[in-house]
Amino acid sequence: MSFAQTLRQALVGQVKRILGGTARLAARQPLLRRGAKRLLQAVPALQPRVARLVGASSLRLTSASDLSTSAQRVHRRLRRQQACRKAHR
Amino acid sequence: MRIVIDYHGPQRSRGSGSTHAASLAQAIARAALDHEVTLVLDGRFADSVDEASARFASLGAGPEVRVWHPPQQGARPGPSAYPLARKKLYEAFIASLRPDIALIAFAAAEPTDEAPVSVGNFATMPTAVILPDVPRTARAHADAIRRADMWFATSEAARQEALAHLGLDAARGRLAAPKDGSGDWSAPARWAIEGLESLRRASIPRAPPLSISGGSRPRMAWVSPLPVAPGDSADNDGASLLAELASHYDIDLVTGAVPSGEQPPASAWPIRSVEWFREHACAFDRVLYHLGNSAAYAHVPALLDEIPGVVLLHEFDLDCLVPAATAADRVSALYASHGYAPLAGHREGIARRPYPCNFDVFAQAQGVIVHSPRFVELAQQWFGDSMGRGWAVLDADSPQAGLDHIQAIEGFAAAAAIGRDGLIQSIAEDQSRSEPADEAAPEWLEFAQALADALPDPMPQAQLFIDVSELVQRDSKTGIQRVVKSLLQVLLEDPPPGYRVEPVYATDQRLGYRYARKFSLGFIGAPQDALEDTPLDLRRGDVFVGLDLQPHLIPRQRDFFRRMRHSGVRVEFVVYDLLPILLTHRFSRDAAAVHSRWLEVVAENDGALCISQAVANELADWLAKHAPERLAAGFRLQAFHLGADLHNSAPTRGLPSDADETLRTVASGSSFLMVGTVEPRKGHALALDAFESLWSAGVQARLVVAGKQGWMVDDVARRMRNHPERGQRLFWLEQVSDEYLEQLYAAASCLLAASEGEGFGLPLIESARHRLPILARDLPVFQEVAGPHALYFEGSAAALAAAVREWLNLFEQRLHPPSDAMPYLTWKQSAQAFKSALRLPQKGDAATHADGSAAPAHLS
Repeated sequence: MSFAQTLRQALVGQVKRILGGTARLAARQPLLRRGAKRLLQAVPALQPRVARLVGASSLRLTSASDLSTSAQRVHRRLRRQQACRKAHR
Repeated sequence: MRIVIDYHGPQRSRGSGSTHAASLAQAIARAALDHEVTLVLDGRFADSVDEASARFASLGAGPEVRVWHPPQQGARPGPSAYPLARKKLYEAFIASLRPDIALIAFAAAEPTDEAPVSVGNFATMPTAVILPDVPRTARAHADAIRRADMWFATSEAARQEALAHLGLDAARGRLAAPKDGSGDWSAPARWAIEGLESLRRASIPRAPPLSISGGSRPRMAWVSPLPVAPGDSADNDGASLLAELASHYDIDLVTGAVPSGEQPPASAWPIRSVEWFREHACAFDRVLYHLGNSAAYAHVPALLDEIPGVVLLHEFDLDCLVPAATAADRVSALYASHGYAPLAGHREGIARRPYPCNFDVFAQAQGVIVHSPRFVELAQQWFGDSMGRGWAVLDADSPQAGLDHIQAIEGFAAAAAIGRDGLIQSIAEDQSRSEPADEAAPEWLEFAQALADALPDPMPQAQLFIDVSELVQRDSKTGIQRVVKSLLQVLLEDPPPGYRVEPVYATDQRLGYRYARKFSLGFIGAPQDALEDTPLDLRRGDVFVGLDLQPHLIPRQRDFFRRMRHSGVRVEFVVYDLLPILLTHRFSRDAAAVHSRWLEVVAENDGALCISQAVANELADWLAKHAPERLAAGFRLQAFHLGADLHNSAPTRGLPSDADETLRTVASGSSFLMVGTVEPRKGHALALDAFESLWSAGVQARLVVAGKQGWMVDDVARRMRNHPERGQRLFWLEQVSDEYLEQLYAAASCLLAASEGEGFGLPLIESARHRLPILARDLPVFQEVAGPHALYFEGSAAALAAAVREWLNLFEQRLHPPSDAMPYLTWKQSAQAFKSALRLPQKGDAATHADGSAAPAHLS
């Protein structure tokens, strides 16, 4: 592991420890929970641990290629049917 | 009675055992001895899933646990179909568990925005709720609670509060509370179950609503090649069925291109093109696809993928529908129905036959109608017992054939209405009424994934995921990668019955695994552009095996392994050794910590497959010290042995220019061969010390080291490179292909296994295959592998030098222990042992052992 990687891991570890405590509190407070979720979106490296505590999804889906084959089919069908229904309204 | 208990409320409130709602739900699960209970948990809160599962298991209730992952709530304000879609998905998921009664347990002060709990928005099923201890805190869910057929209050005060604050119907309410505050919930649970039974009896099965457009008669798209008209001799059966269905449906005929030079026949029904149908599909209530094995039906599979409908199957084998233009098309079709097995066995030319490429058609159909039971037999023969079970086998010549077909089509449509197709249809309808940008919002991506996970597509076989994360990135040609390649090759060609082997990989960058389809196609010599690498579709009953060793990567995927387990996937890892922990001084400073973190993740999962009994014993010791609760929880420990045939392990090829001369020299006298990367624990320094003392005493034996330089061996590497005996009595061959290694085994006199620790010791069995005698350090793992077929030495350089002398003397008298009779496995046998050690559940599985012992599978 390079020095840069080691440093990065150590820093992320520290931040995780600090935020881990916050997240445990957040898990019980809706307001804090919302804040934690926003934080998650801003700092992806914190995702797995904090997400687990606040119950957010840590599987980030940003495009259809992030979907499984089965979900791509669902997405396709949903969009196609929605377009068809709009056209027939 | 099948009771599905949604326990999301108590699950989320910590200390769940202390709330009355939780106590009642648990007591119901325990008391429902004559009933089938399924527990539903919210997978987003992974820690509490494990806690709740353990709590119910400890009660002895042992309900089946189903974990689902609701999509996150939408982030955008304003009118949107999204919140309702989440609720409908919840109902569709509960309905997919086929409950006689759905019982929803709420918790006090449950966050309103979290759980998409819903009643009566999509699926119709008898539903009861357990109110929270303080019912007014459930106001956000009042709508769902009011729609429930029955509600339970866990105290008289709670009952009164529910009536006052939630506006519930008193007639639907029941008190289920312990008498005199005794804390014994068994009697209230019995009363509650009696209530649920009465609710079930009173619930008249209601057919799901048919969405009939524009009139009293449903509209049907009849998708079939022309001609089809009453009296047409070419399609009499179809024409008469069409006429009979027309008594119930308004029918449009949808057809592919009319052959050139022919006119569409005169028809009593509108004839539509496929393109027209694509644009107007939502105007139809029913779609009936005819499918036969001719090019005239070639457009149907793609259409069925877009627009759901019932299939009337005229022929079973649909190979004419598979685009045959390119090898990639054939690969794609074969893979969809059968995985890699038919591809791996046909490197020289990929043939479709005898494999029917029709699974996707069956999987996407809302229902399948056949006119011969033989089709059901074929479907089950190729795709397992569950396939074909729901098909309608109808007599086409029966006087009431028309009515039978209508009933079958309506039955399939009713089931689809509360399943995936009906849900998509319903949500699309909601979306079409919402604001224009709604359907493009990013949360719909997550919704699609959540829907696919909650209501999974059928698969033709269960999946055996094999982690090849390291190999996908690079083939560093280590011993472990040789194991991965060798096992993978056999597993792809000969998967366990009922399973398809799916190589998968993860990366550091993101959580989750993907199918390694491009890698796998390249590995078996098929065109790589035929398939894409997509995230995994998980199914209950799938199995994941961490075959590749990636100690840095695995801990980062910890949450995904948990998600897999919660999705009903068994997760196991191959453990090659514990050496960085047991021989810390022989590894870099952080190796022990990295290995320990990796082992911690292994221990969290379902089991380990060790490459020797010695490693299994070491792992058992480690678990007893670091994770005894996992052993107590039934962590599986199994062992299997590796294979010896290099030529069947995807060998590397190539010989250096001086190979002939080197091999001649090695063969010309007594040569001791050391095989493996030069690293501290392998004992090269010890061997060099021993041989230097032998050489100075005039012994002519040679030391041949085959292996590249590893870590922390600068000193011994310098010694070997600059040694005065180099090229005379000392040889260090740093770049040795598998092909070259085979020849070295054949040329050498004896294998020297001086390592201080090994997981298995592949060189021992490779030597045995070449009848090369073995001189080995006295380690438990070497004793396990070589037994009495080797000569052993203890610890020091002097002991090794003495052992070499002894071996040479014995060899001269032909009294040395030969390795000829040493048992070893081929990679094919090793893969078989691996499969046996996995103990995959399968029909009529004779290999499943009852004793649960950790003996090497091939020895048992």
